[in-house]
Amino acid sequence: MLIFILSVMVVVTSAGVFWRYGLNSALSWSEELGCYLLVWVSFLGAALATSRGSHIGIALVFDRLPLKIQFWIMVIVDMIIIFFMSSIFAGGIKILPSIHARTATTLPIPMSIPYLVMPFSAGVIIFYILVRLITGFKKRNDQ
Amino acid sequence: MNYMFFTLLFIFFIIRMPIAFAMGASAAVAMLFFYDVPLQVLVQLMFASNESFPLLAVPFFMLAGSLMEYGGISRRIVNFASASVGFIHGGLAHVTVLASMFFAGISGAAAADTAAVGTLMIPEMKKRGYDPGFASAVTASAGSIGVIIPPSIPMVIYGVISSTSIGALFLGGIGAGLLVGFSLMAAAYFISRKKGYLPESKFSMGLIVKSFKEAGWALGMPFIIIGGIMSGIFTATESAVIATDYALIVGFFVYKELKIRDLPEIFIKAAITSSIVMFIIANASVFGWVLAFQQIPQLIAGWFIALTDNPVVLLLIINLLLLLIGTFIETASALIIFVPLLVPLISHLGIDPIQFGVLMVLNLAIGMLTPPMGICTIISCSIAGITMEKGARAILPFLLVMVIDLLIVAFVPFVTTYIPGLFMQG
Repeated sequence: MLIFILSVMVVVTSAGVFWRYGLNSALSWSEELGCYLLVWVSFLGAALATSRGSHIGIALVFDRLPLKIQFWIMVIVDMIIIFFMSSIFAGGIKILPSIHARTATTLPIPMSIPYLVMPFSAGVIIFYILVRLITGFKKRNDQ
Repeated sequence: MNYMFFTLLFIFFIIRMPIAFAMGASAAVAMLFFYDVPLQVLVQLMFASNESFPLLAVPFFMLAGSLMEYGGISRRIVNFASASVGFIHGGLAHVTVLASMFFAGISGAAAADTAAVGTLMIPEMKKRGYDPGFASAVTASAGSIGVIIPPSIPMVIYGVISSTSIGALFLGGIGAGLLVGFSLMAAAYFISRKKGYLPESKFSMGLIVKSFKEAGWALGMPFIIIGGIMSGIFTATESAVIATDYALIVGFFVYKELKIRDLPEIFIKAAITSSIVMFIIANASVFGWVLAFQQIPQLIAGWFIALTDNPVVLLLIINLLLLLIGTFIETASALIIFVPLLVPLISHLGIDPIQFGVLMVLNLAIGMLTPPMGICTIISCSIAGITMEKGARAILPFLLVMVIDLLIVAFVPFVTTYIPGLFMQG
């Protein structure tokens, strides 16, 4: 899905440039669509980056701690992220009805469609982290 | 309240919570439990920070960079650089710096620059008996030029936050980037002389012409980007998408090294690396909201002005602060937190915001070399197969050179304002 959105983003923005310079009549909607696609790619990508553990953190102190403490710190970090993402999830759901009434500036869609990515990606991040926690505890019990 | 907020952030950093989550979560705690801000505001702030046409340049430049890497372009650039400067003492080191400078004209990220040139050059240098520490240090410091020579993702971010022209920032980066590149080559020359690294090849005009022809399409890319912006035809975002299209066309039809089946991997990679930056931006905007709510920028600006009203001293202090920040905080978050804080102060001092933007990016580029958050050193050390400690020690002479460059950029505005002045009025 990420690949698809990014490809559409390239096509839409290229088309915007082409229409403006090649055909001399600017497409009104390509910029706005590009922006919403960017938001989608960014938050979905952030969810995928979470599952691959590629968000950047400062490991200076952490790496010098004993493994047992590292494990519990990781659990605490994951719990805090779950708390934070749950508030994004709840806020994202709460905002949908009020924002549904608004229409995008140049596109004939309600604003709830671009905003849907917020609760969706927050939900995906929570899911990934729960999976990570459960597999972490399982591994620990097996040892 | 202030102390608690910063303590929380600090604890989150220490326990290795990813920076984006650490900023977002500490801000969320402050907003929800202390200011009673509804959850919806949190969501709106994050959404709005990413909904920006200029920031579309971020994924596009990432995509163009990785397309060029897969399309056989980095190898041709290295060949051309090798023919151009391989005959100097310590030839491979110069090749690395020059290739990084060309690559910087294509990609907007220092990490991509370091990885692309490093995977080709570090093994080569080790094979010829160069010290791995030296090889890694040259590659990392040259790679940091990736964000100074346009295009540059940090400059896009600076431009968006401070509402200065991204095109002018790009043009300002050219002078600074050339300065850093040539001074690094000078440093590499003296070290190579001392260590007895020999020239690689004889000077041959024929070889230069031949490799130039092969690399011509790749070298054309920076001219499209910079030329398009200089002449005012494209915005930065538009030039980024043109660069992506150009990389696709050259990779598929000219060099024919790009394969359809590589595309999903390239797209996913570009999407993830740009999301990491964009997600930091989203969380930093929430964080910035809390800072602004607490009027912390005004507080800090007040301290600075109370400290001294001498612009030269103040600029020195700001540089020192930025170097320190660059060492501990990742580039995008540093920009989002500190640009709104420092830019009003800078205009108060009568310093050109373009010059300051280049200066700030250069500062943070130096921060990419110093552990713990030195992304370029981390990458080059892992390619060279040495420890961070060893890599960090070898990088010291280059770091010194870059700090001298920094002072030149800070106190000689000509370096950064001459080229933009040629093309832009007012």
